[in-house]
Amino acid sequence: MRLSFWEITPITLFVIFIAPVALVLYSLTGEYSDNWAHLYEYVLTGYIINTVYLVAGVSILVSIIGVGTAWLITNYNFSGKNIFEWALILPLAVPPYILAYTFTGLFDTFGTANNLIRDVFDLGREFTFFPKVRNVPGAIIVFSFTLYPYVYLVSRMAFINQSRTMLEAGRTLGLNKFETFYKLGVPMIRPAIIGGLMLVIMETISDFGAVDHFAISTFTTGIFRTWYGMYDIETAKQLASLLLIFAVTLILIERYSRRNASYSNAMSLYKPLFLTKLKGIPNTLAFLICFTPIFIGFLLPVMELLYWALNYKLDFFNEKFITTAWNTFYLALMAAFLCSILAVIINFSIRYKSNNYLKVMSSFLTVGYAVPGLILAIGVMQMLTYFDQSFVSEFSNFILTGSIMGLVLAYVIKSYALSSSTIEAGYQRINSRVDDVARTLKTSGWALLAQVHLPLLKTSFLTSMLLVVSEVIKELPATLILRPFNFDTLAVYTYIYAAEERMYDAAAPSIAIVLVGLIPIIILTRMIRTSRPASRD
Amino acid sequence: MTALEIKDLNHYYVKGKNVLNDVNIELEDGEILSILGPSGCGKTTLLRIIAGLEKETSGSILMKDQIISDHFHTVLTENRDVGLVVQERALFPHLTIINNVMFGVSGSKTDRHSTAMRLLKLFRVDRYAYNYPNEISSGEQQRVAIARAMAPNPKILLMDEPFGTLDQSLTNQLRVETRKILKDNNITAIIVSHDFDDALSMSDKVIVIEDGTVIQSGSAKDITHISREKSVKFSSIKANT
Repeated sequence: MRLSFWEITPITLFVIFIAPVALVLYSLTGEYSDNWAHLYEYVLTGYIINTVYLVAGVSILVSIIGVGTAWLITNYNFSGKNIFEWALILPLAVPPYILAYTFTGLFDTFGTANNLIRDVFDLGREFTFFPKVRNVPGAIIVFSFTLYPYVYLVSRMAFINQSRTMLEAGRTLGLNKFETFYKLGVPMIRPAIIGGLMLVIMETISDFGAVDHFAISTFTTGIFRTWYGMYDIETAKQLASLLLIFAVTLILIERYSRRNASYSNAMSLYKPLFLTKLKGIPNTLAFLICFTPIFIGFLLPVMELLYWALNYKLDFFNEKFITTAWNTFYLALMAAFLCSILAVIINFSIRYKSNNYLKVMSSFLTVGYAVPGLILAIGVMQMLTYFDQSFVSEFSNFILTGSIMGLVLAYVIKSYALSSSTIEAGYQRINSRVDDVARTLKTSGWALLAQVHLPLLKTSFLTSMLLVVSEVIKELPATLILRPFNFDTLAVYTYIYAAEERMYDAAAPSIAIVLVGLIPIIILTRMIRTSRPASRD
Repeated sequence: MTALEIKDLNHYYVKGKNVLNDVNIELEDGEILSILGPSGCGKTTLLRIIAGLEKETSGSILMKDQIISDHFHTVLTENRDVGLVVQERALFPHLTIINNVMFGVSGSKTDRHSTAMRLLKLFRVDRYAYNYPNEISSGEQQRVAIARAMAPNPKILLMDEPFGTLDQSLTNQLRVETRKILKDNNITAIIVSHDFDDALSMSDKVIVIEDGTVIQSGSAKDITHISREKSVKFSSIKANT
């Protein structure tokens, strides 16, 4: 059987993506140390319960915020709507660990907010107004208000592409505006919501910084403690393998849940939505619903960081800072472009070849997102070292290990799920009959992709770029392990200070991460706002 | 000359459950054939097999006496020289009307443009040449879809429920217009429909499929004698018998 480019590429990527993860999973076949008895006896149940609570709480809160704000922005005109439209994704620039740092700075017993209340009302030191945040509900809030933009972005994109005629049909069948939202609008974009939610869940279960700062025992903190506390990398990899199996199970459940669903629209029948103008109390409510997540997820931490930074000398705008910021930015752009283009090629291959094997393979390409960065970095490093030793040692040693290529590879494997789910959601809105007609018009393969699909996927492609850029700028553990010698990113700066609880010192690079993260968000959001896949640009 | 010949065609997705049974069709140049049948009878599958979008389980298809698909080889869709019109129109939403019609035409830009404009004029939608699909009505979109399929001058034009979503008066008007254009240009066409009126008013030949088997074939007039015992539930059959 002769394989075409559209089959060879997914197979090759599958091997490259799976190899580091397989190296981690391979640890399950190795010996189990005595530390397992301790883990099983005392902490494993706690890891599982806390992780499940986190996932459930974050999923519910993120769905409410992400879908609700997306619906309001897409269907209504209200005060501040034009600003909220792009401002709602600002929290993407704030990593959960930075929000966690600022939350403790604000709401701890002697944090800024409690001190302010005591000063204003002249209360004693024993009085604490805000409840403790270093617990599971606190972590749920931190994750939800930094990660909801994933659901907001995909929901908004899907709502924009909903045809007016379908919603109007619902209204004529007796649904009121709210019923139209939850009985028609939301079910029609269910694949997009589930896709966004999966990203949030994977981000939550693989986070280390925030849960560690809140001293919550989850799988990831367990992995790190086993590694650094017990110096037992094999057991750490075995724990990581369990987390990976959990992630794969989630992916399979998601695929199963939408196995028979078809949500594509006949694109030619598309009619843009009319916006309803809100006045009075509904206008105020819509304003508050959109303002609250921006305030908690972006304004509050930024204000706290600025407060810290202004109490410390701002001397980081030097040559070293500019180099570091540039390193961060070009790495992010490179990874984002690669991720997005690969996601397009893979999703096109699945559609074009209608091959179930390719579909299953594609599902496995996304598991990198659920692998904690540190573990993925070890897997990538092991793979590259093996490659260097096996294939290039005759010419030169360590060509790949410790190079930018290793770092970019780790970013691509880690962030591919973001691109894939976004591009896949975009593809679901292109009617398969468009492909049939294009093929009878002598357009297939690359021509079909370039002339028909890519123009229709422009918004999805830009969204995918945005998500990956934002992800890579914040990425820390893999960068620490894989960065070339004397090569820093902004996240490395922040980490070094925050690990030493030098929060005032961590404030400046944190602001820089947020600022650098803002640039692509603003540029790409404006481009997305002016484009619509179902119509001309 | 025989434009299309289908011999002993069978097709199944699950072994033992055939969706098409021993289908045999012969169509001469310039003839218009309607394939009639209720939903799920296999008529769209047959059209997709002719277009090369699906591969038949057994049998052979010849176009202009050349084998385009049999047990040994298959000509890909993009090389079959067929035009396809679907119920959803499937116009490319990012392209203007003129660019939609020029899409499958080869040659210099000037030639492609003049071919597209000629067809748009023929279907009386040339004034929308520089509009986008979402800016014109569904009837106009359907005219553009047919013009686009005809533009590369295909050997056979395949139409799957082409007027399925249009209102009755528009459908009647389009049937007459389309038949005239097809006949004037000597285009061989196959129309898949569940609407008996489509078959009567547009085609020279009709075949009726039920559960994947051809139960009747002949001229449009012959088919009006479809027996009620066969229980072919076409929406308009009662009005015409």
